[in-house]
Amino acid sequence: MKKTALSDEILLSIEKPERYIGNEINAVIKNRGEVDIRFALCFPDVYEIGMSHLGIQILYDMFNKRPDIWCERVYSPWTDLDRIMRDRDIPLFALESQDSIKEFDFLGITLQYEMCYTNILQVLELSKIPLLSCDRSEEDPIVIGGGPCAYNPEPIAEFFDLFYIGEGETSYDELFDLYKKYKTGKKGRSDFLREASKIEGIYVPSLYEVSYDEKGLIKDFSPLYPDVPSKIRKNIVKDMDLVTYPEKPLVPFIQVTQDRVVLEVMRGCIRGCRFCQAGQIYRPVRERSVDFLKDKAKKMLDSTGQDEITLSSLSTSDYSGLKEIVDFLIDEYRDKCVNISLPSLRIDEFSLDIMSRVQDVKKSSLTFAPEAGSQRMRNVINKGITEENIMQGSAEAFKGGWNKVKLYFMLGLPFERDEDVTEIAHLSNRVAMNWFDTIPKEERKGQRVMVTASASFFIPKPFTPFQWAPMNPPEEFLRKAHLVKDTFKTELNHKSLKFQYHEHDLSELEGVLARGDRRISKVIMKAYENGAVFDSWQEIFDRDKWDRAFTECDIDRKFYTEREREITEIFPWDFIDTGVSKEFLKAEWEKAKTETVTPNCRASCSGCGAASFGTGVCFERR
Amino acid sequence: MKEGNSVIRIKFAKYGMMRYIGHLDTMRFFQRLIRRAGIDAAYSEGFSPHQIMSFAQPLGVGVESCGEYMDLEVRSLGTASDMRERMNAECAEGIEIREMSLLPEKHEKAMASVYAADYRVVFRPSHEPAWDICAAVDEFNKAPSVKVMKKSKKSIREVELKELVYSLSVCLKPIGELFPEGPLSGDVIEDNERRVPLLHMRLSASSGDNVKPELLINALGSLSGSEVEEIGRTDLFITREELYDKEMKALIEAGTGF
Ligand code: SF4
Repeated sequence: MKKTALSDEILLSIEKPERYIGNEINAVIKNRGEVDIRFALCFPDVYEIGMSHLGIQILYDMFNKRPDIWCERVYSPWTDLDRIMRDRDIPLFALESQDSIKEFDFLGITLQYEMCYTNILQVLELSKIPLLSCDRSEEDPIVIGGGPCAYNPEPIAEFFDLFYIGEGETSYDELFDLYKKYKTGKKGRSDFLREASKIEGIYVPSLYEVSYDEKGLIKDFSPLYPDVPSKIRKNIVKDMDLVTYPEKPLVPFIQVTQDRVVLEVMRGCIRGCRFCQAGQIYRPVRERSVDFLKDKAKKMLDSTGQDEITLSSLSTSDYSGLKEIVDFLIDEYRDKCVNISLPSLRIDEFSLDIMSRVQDVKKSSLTFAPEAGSQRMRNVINKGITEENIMQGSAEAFKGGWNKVKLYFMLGLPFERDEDVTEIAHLSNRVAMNWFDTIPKEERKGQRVMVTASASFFIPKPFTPFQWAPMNPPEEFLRKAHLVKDTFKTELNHKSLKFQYHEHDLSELEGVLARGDRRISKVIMKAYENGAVFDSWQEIFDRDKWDRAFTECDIDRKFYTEREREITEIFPWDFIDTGVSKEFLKAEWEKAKTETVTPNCRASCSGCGAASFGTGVCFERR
Repeated sequence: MKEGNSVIRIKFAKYGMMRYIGHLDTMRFFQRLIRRAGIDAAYSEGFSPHQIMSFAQPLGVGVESCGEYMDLEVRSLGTASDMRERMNAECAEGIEIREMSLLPEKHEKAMASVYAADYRVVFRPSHEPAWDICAAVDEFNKAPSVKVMKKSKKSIREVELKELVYSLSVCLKPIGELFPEGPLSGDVIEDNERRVPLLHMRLSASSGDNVKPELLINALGSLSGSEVEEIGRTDLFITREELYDKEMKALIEAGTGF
């Protein structure tokens, strides 16, 4: 029988042993002796979350296509197993071979959200790898980070040997080939890192030095050696049809968050919402051809047996082949009982038509993301959706039989006034009113409209026009949330309205981690020592552990959250070149102040700088 | 059932790593397996159609089996051997399709037919109890009545085990023979030749009166007299070997393929 790293007794005593046994359909098994590099790919959260991530599936497939590499997976052991592993001194292992992570050449950790930072330390510690890069020896795997949070790697810089900035499909081969040279040769880890720092998109934090002025602001950030680049330019895929895409994605045994086959139709977003980091860092928009997607859809469904397929991108409504690919999927797979799940599309005649063909109108709800209540505020954040769009879209939908509406908002946006905040309730009320106006009494048949508005708290992120913005203090978030709540109660249709808002506890911390610098490393470390882990899980998050950590490290979190940054300030992430220029971001920040809208990339190019990659929407004929 | 459709019964084994897959996840596994293998399954109507399948009886997590059954409605049939091969080619290690049969148009669902189950039970190395198992089995077989408390989700009630245990036997075997693939993860066998008890039992498995092997093992413990420690699921290595209907015929009789 295949051996598991955990004993039978442990497996039978923990929640969902399936998280730890591997053996899934399409898992890749190779012979240890026949590969040169063993790579452990980690999503530092529980299995069900990690298995749902497309990026991991892409890298897993891509690495394993190389005969000289065996790439395996590892996720955060859930709290029940975490305790057992510590008590009995069991080292963390990879799912496929069940071998200890410590034996691997690389541990690659994907950084999808800031609140997973303590889980990185959990994975390192359980793997028996020193937490700090400077304490690691030749026996330890090279610890590499990538993903959206790598665009400000500084708060976690000390835990990583290197970061990969940009899209994974481009520079890994070069890195692996270099590693093989070092593994067989006599040179050591530090020589490898020094050489790796010269590969495009690779950032080796230990080769850079930061100095601060008396106010605690960055004075200088520069490489220690002349041959180490001072700017790291992100890597991107030039032609989305020419890069590898999984044809045999993994099929988990247990239900995971994204329990379906995923077609990534494009990368990037044309919209340029000023609060959105993804919309900036993945520029420019690059589409895949419909033919490419048709081919992958068939292969993935055949090889997995999944009964659902979904389209993925930041804004699928903007994909130019949308109608063609959706028609194809419906024609080809509806009969074969494959569900087609559509991400929240912009609500218009076209999307309502396809939605009514693939889902039960009565059960599903319409989703709008106006993000702000007032038009003034939507201009500030450059959200190109108008009240007219919402009213027209919802009226169409109400006629089509829908009567549930979800509206997403943010609170604490820059330049926000109380009248913008209360407008959230008024707008929701007008949507409900729209139903009564659209659906005559005799057709209502005892039904009523239900509008659910939810608000999250705005957190300024690096590489967005709002990177200079002060974040609202927690009390202000709460005051605004209560203001909206109270306004809802006074609305005419309050019986058809629901309002909910997210916890603000996590937001403040996320704000610190998002725009933090190297000095934050020790806070994360302290919080972890205090027992913080799985911080993105509301039921586990313990604010007290972090409060103590900030006090113990004598770090004022308001320095990172509530301080308004000077336009000339050097940011911890300024050494990264995403293609979008700081000049452009500054101009956008100024335009936000004057409530001026910037057109999307298809309407006209605003010269953000991303055209320098020589591809994508920047070169489309308009 | 839709005109022209048929229902097939599939017998499969579940072992090794697949022991850790729970009942609902096993069902999900089969739904995807059937698609990968290109079996022409029938689907329910509506916006989220699903395959029309039902399992004879859930198998506990950690238990192995070479006698699991499920019924599946299909729109068209191939030969049993071809369908079996196609499914086995798409299986994960630890699930194996053993047999298939075509059910007559009028049939009882596997779930409703199940009446008894055969189990093979061994103690995991160093989990054997101090009391004499062979003597306890003897005593059980001679006793006119053995009453135990049986817990279910809703209630606790007293049942007469003698009516629910159709057969029980024990023999001593070298432990190495009982774990030919080696011990379970985390266990150590020090002396392969050491003789330990191997139990075979046929227990009631009807939906109202399902008896788990642990219940009988603990009853044996009580029969042996003195205060004994409760034996839990993880002390045992259990294999379900077969499921039977009221006439004590296996749910698929050998040689009923199509
Ligand atoms: S260069 Fe122009 S078209 Fe290209 S991403 Fe920037 S704004 Fe859009």
